[in-house]
Amino acid sequence: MTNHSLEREPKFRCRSVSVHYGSFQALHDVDIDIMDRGVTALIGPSGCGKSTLLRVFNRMNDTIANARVTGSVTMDGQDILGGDIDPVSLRARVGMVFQTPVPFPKSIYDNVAYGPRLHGLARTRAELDAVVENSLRRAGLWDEVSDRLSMPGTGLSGGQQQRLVLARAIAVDPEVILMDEPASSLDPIATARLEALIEALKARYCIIIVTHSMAQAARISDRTAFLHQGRLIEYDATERLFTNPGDVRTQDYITGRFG
Amino acid sequence: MTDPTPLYMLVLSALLCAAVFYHVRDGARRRVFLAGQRPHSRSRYHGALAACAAAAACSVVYGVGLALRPAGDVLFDAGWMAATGLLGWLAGWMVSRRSTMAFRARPHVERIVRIALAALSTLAVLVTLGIVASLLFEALLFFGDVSIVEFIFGTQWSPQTAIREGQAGQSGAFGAVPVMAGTLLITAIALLVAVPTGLMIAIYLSEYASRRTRALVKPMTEILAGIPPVVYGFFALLSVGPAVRSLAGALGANVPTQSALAAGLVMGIMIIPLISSLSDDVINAVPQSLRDGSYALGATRSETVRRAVLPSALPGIVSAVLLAVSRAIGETMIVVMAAGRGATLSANPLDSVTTVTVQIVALLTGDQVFDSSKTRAAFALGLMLFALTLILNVVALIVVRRYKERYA
Ligand SMILES: Nc1ncnc2c1ncn2[C@@H]1O[C@H](COP(=O)(O)OP(=O)(O)O)[C@@H](O)[C@H]1O
Ligand SMILES: [Mg+2]
Repeated sequence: MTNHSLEREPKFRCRSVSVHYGSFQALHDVDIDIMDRGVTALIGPSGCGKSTLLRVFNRMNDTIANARVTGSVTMDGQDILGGDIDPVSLRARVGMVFQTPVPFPKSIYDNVAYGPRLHGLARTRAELDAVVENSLRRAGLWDEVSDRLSMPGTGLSGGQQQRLVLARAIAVDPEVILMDEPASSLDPIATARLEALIEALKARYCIIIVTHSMAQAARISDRTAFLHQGRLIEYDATERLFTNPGDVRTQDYITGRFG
Repeated sequence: MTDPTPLYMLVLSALLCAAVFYHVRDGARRRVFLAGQRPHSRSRYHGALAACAAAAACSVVYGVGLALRPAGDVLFDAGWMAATGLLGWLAGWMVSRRSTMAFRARPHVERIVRIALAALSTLAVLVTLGIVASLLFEALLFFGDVSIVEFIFGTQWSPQTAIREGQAGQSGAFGAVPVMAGTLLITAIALLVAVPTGLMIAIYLSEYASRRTRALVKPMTEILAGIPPVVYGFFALLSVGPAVRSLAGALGANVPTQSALAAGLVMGIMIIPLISSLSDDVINAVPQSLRDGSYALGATRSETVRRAVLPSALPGIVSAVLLAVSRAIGETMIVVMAAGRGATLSANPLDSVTTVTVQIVALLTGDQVFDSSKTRAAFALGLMLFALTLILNVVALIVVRRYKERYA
């Protein structure tokens, strides 16, 4: 049984969300509520539509030529699919971190300052310095890079780069952070650091994370959604979903019988 | 009439080597087939090695024959051909004799290939060095007549009057500054036209245009690159020059039909496709994930292009622009037709100017003794042009490399 009612007002409310790529339907009538200040994990076999669903929340599907999103999605009660919301300003409120970190070909400082400069979030150099430092601190990277902010972002290790793009997203002061398999290119130590970071960030942000690691979903998320072939099969408190799944497909997936 | 025999000899040698290759290869194939085992080297390596041996023998016979050959002796030529055929075949046969299952032909062939490739690269280097050396040599001779300081800093260029008998003021006539200034002025105008236009075309094609538009527009711009410079030349002379003139006339200025502006504009149009096509390629090579990262931060498309895509494509764009600069500096035809030949030192784009390449042509064509200061001045100008493009290339290479080291 799918449980999409939450105790608090949800950050996002999706109703019959479908996504088509050309004639191929990647998501079928997904209804899901995402809570604020917590971690929601999206799991499921690859190709089931996790990334597609994640991209619904910041309208990144708009950047894909043949993608078409239908249904209704609200953020804080306000429609974000309609024509009157500007996807560009939505993305300033909903940050995103991708599977492989791709820093801009700029210095560490300029990478983090990219968003604030775009949106005019800092009036003076000192303010910008403060934003950069703050974001790097929150992303747990400040101590490692504070003495080489002018070095290129591409020179960092994979784990550092992932935290750099996280800092880049945080610098815009978003309300939501979307993460698409952020640990899949990281070694176990870097992954552990990232998970600790997510744990710390969830008090402030609404975090939605796609992961192919069930252990990771179980460790860091409060609620977990299981998708299968473009449909939301089950959505529940993480603990309940993993210990007592309501659907046989969920059961099969979390016990490793397919996917 | 020239004697065609040496050419026939080359053809004969080539045919012989091919015959040796097929003969030895097929022989080896037959043996492999009969023995039914796996040889060390595939049959074609046996053939290739035999052909190499034949080629070596043929070259020796060719060289010796060429050195000893009396002119027009039919008997000698017949012997020469017979010797080539005989010795070439013999060399191939000596290799084929060793052609067994265990014969290690492959490593030999690989080594020969490596040596041949290295020899060809060396040849390219030597040719380059030779050209530079001859430039340097003639230029040095020239600097014996005219002081190098005079040449580089002199502001008077009138080589025609300087060689006339009894001309006293020869020293002032070979100052390259006006010529150089003309080249730089026209190149600057061309770049002013081509870099923004070319870049914007590239950005439009790679970031905004639909796939269909791109498939249509890109080949069109590339056709622009295929138009011969001389056609651009009369376009400049007959259309752009008069247009510039009447436009300036309407504004109250009296301007000659041939002007730096007309030549620069047309040259700019000529190098647009060079910049747009290469830049489009490098912009397309920027990974989509970089763009996504920018969009996800709330950047618009144009912000993404300006702040993320272009910086990342910069090294490639710099090389494209540089290629265009070299092309513009070396361009002659358009300038001859559209810019005039007057070596006036002027920063006014509406003046008629001349360029290094045009002056080289002017110095070396027409009837004159090929040993005067005048003709040698052409080499000095050539050297100067070469130095200029070389410096530009080196600087750009350093810039690009430093940038890549930092960010790639
Ligand atoms: N840009 C696209 N064009 C066409 N089909 C796509 C595109 N992106 C994803 N798909 C298809 O949509 C389905 C869901 O993809 P995705 O959301 O990336 O899955 P997941 O992230 O769960 O692995 C897959 O079948 C995939 O092939
Ligand atoms: Mg995915």
